[in-house]
Amino acid sequence: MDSFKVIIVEDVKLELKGTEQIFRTEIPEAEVIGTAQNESEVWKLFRVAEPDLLLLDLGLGGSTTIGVEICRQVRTRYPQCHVLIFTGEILNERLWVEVLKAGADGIILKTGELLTRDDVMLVMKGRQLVFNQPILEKIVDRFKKSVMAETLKRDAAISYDIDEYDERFLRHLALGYTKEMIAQLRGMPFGTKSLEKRQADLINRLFPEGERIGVNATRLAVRALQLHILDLDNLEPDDE
Amino acid sequence: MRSNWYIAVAALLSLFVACEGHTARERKDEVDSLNARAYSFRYVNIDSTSALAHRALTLSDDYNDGFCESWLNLAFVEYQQMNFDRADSILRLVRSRHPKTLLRLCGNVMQMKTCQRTGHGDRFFQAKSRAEERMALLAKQEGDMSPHDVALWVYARTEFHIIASTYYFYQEQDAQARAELEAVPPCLRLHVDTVQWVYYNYMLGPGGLVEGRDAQDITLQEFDYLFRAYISSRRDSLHYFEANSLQAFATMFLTNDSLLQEQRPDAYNLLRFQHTDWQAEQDGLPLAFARHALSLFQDYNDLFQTACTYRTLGEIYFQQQDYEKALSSYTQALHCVNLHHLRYYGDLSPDTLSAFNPDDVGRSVEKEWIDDPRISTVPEWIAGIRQQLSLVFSAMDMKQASDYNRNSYLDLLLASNQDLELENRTQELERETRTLYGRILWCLGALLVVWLAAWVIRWHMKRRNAESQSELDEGRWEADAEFRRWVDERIVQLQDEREEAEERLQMAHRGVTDNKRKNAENRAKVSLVHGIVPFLDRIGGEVLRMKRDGTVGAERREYIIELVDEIERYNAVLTEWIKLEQGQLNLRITTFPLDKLFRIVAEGHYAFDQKQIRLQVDEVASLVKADESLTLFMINTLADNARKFTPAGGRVTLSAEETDEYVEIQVSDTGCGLSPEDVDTITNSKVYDASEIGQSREGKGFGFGLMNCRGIIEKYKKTSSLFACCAFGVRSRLGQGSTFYFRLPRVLRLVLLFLCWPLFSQADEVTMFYDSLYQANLTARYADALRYAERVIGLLNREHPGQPPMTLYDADPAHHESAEMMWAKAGEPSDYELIVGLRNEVALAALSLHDFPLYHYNNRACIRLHKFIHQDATLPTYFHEMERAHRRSNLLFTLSFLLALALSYVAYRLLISREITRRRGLIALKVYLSNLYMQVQRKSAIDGLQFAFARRYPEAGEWAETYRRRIEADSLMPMQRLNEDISHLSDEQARLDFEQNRLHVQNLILDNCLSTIKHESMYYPSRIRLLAEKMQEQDIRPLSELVQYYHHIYTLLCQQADEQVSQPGYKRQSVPVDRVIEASHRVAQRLTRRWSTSRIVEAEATHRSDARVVADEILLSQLMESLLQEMMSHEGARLSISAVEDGNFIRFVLRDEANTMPDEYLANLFFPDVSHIPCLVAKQILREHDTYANHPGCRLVAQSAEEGGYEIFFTLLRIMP
Repeated sequence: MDSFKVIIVEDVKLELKGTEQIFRTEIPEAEVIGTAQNESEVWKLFRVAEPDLLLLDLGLGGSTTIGVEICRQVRTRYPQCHVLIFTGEILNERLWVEVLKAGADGIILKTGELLTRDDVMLVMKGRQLVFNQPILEKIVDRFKKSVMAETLKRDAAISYDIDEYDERFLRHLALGYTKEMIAQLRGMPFGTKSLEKRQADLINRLFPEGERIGVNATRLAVRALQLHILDLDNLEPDDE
Repeated sequence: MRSNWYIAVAALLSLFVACEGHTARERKDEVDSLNARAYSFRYVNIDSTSALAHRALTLSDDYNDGFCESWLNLAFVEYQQMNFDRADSILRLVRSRHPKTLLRLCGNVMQMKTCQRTGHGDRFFQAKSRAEERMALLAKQEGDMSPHDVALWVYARTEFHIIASTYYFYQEQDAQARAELEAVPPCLRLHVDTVQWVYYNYMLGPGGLVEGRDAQDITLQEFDYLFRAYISSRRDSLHYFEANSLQAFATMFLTNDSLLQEQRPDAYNLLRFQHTDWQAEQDGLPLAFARHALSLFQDYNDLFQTACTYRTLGEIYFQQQDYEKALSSYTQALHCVNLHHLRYYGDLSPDTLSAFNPDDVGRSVEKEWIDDPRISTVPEWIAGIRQQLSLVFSAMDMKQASDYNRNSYLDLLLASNQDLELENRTQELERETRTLYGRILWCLGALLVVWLAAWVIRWHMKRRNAESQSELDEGRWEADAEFRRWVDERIVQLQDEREEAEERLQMAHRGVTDNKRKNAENRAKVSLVHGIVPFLDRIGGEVLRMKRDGTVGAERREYIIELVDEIERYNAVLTEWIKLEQGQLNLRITTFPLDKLFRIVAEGHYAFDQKQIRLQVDEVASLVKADESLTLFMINTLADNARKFTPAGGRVTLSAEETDEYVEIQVSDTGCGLSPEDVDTITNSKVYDASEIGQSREGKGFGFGLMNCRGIIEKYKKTSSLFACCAFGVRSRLGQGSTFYFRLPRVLRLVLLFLCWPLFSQADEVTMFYDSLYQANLTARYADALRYAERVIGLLNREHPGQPPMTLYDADPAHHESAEMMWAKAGEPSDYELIVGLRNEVALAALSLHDFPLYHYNNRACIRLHKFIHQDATLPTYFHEMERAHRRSNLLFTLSFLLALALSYVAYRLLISREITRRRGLIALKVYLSNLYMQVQRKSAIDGLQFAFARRYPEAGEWAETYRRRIEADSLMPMQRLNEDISHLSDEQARLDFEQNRLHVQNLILDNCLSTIKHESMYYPSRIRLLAEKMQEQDIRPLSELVQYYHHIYTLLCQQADEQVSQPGYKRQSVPVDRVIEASHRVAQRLTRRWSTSRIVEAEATHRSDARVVADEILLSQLMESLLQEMMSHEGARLSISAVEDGNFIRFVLRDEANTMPDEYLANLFFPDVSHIPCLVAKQILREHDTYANHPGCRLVAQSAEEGGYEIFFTLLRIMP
């Protein structure tokens, strides 16, 4: 691959030294045209020469999230320049999302193998969402969990045997209707008494034995939401 | 015994002989004579009295008075046999026959007698006041009485005073009792009525009603009276009094044998001689007397006195320390009580009393009897037996039985309180009606000028009504004025309370601020700790590369060493930082009752119920010295762990065990237990991977809770040697559940008091010592209890200088009254309920320590004082008044009714009826208002109170409504508002307290985590450096392993800290920029005092005046202060503070125009260094603002300023207008 120009933004000198060393020893085609320790230095460097890759730390000096702002501005002002985040923010997952939103090509966490030649090369080839092993592990872990939970809930909803009336009843309960009001809905062929019976029946279906005591309408509606029998995003009353 | 029968038979014979065919006159005389004889047999043989009275009854025919007198004799018989209900119905029958006044008086006296015995104070006084009136009436007719009537008259008067005296005597009102006896008519001394004379002498005998020079003198006088009663009763075969006197002798000889032998040798020898056949030689005289008395009472068939004699017997045995016999005597006495109960009320309640039945603990049969209105019994009777039983059980070391009896005893005493809450207001109403009827009489009395008089009355009433109403309107009425005063006082009091609440809120706010600042600093430290992790990662990365390449390389080695140096530098900064704060002790050590925390945990049982685990929280009386919120945190942590690891159906127990030194708090579960290795890890290692503990558990580990608990205990130990006994540990075996425990120093109440001496007012001290006393008794430390009691007494004596001092025990019988009784009688203000309690507790302690003289002294003092403070002095006069008013109004009404039925009715109808209604309306209104006032004063609300008079008199109804509204608007509303304010303030304060406690715990745990990190990781960097320096090309493994291990330990430690940091302390607020600048100036001014060369200069305002930022105000001010601190520490600084709008942000700029700083300095300002720790705190605070403001991009930059000097600025998210 052809050589390319790199600017490294890193506020801790000793870390900068290590990073430079990685570039020097492992990615010889990269030409480090400048290093910056704070925001103003970054813009000074950009005025001199536009790099192909910006290796960006998120926190600089006292400003701990300024990297997000720099990334956003670089992406708008220099769309050709790739931005790879190289950060020690191991715990702040929210910041990862922010910086991806701001247009970063990838995030490398300063742990494990740190920066590798492969990661840098992938970014230079235009690959989006480049992550190193530790961050990928975290992401996949989360993904697995959410998929599993989703599946469990969907299975549950089917196995609870919810018919159309159950769904409408629960939905209106969740919207704060009283049983009297629900009984008067169009196309609701039940009176208050049988709705009460239906509620008791639903409680038996949706709650395992031992947890049914003291369940009221609110708790029942919440349970229906938790089991995804009701969809929070489509919680609307019937058209009347 | 035999002689009794002779007399009875003789009486009956004479009766049969004398009863055939007489004229009416003769029959009347005969009935009188039979009745007189029945009377004379009263105390000789009750059966004879009954037989004679019945005979008189059959003969009386149409002789109404004779008939009634016979019934009165029968009432006496029923009374003696304790059939009080029957006696009552006889008295009702007599009343309904309207006999002559003298007999009515006798009826009243009899009524007094029954009420005195059954303890019905109210009815007693009712009868008494009636009797007094009749006596006054009869006194005028004294000269015209027949001899038979004179005898009755003497009897009635004497009996009246003797019974009244008895009543007062049992109510411990000695002065009145004495006065009543002194009022006994002097003619009695002429032996007109021997029976009453004996009765009178007997009353003076053992009662302590005689006054004398000293104890000896009193005893001798009493003996003389008693001896007189004894001799006379023996002479006249008055067996009842003979037995009573003997019983009294028994008690008297028990303590005064030698005195009597010396001073009254003749009487002594006579008594001794008479009782030689009663085993007097072996057992002593008292026992002989008591036995003789017992047999006499049994012959006389008097259950009440038989029981009393058994009691006396028991007391004698008790004195001789023959507890078995004493107990059996008391049981006999109790048996008599049961006999009485079963005889008359067996069908109502078949339960009987027993000396002690373990099943009965917590239940009191006698209390049930007393509470049942259908059952009449004699509370004092049972109380006496119960008290003795408690003594004897105590002496036999049967604590539970003793306590049971003592509780019954105290219950009975409480049930016989004299002060019944009587509506004093009825009295007023009564008075009003009285004057009203007075007016009617007036009107009717002036029949001749009916209309004129009516006019006058009308005029008069109108004026009075107008006056009353203006009084009501203007609030000149006493109750109204009093109510207003009360309202004013209450409002002032509430305002004070609100102010106090505000102050407390301020305090809480300050506490939160301090803790929050400390928290921010701790978070900054955690950030510093995190700052090391990238270096560790770098080392790790380098090692990986070495492994991959198979070479070390000088450059890499050098880089690793540089990294290690940097880590060491960071560690040094942390160490310095921690050192800076040492000495700021932040454990909040207080003394508190453990039970309070236990109750809080118990309230959280819901989470346990959810998992179907039973949470059992034991009662605990211990006081401990520790940090309260930390202790709660520890208990909660352990309880939560236990809940997590106990399967459904299990049990979690929270309990405490006390030793001399410490209290051990234990949380036990029925979970699966821990292996010995785990137990070892938990108790001995500072750092371990909690998720590896308890492998048998489902996935989840313990978290850092246990590590934190252990750390807290370590912290205590380091704080002071007082906490040397602290410990944390676990006892567990696999499969058998675990018990986690920790120990805190136990506090004796006394220690606490001396420590906090100056903090408490005297009254608080008294209460606290009293509490300690109570606690000591509760925990069976009786000797301690007595010490506390002495302390309380000392304090009380200090409160009452110039009064005779209280003592724990006073052996001098001449001191008839205890000191506190004298205080009470002298009207000295004091907390008498507390003194009653104190005496009771001392009695209890003495009972348990078997110190019976001390017990008797204090018990008596307790009872006497209790009765004294609960006596209602107005009761007798009140009834008297009621009675008189009642009768007078009846009379007036009848008179007026008879005299002017027709005419007056017209006049009344036309002229006064309206005014009367008006008057009554006004009176009813006053009563209504009083009730309103009372309700407002009691409940601070008006609910459900209706003005019943409104129907008859609508105008009054309107007034009532107006007044009611006025009270609501003027009094209730402001009070309610204040109350609401106070409750809001206290809620807010509770919230702040909660927050403060949370922060406090978090801070302490963080402190602890940080120092653990410092200690545990200090040693690795140098090891790594050593290895790196010596490392050979081939041998990378040791370094790699060490680095890995260090990384592992370090991240583990960090996680523990992170767990605390993850709870945000940040509170999102909208803060006006102006306020920030203003506050910063104030802080800066304050700081110039420290750095006198620095100055503050005004900067031009460039922001909009209504600009606001998203921030936490407390943290923001700390941020400003930190930066100012940094900048003003430079020599000759000239600072300006300004705010500029900067896109979505507001930029706060602090510029120092005087100093120029090198770029190197500015670039490194926010990196760890001991010399600018405030900047690290500032950085952390800004970081939090960044995280929680929902919009990253806040800046904190130090740079050279274009206009010269340098500046530090930071940006915060602006709230768009």
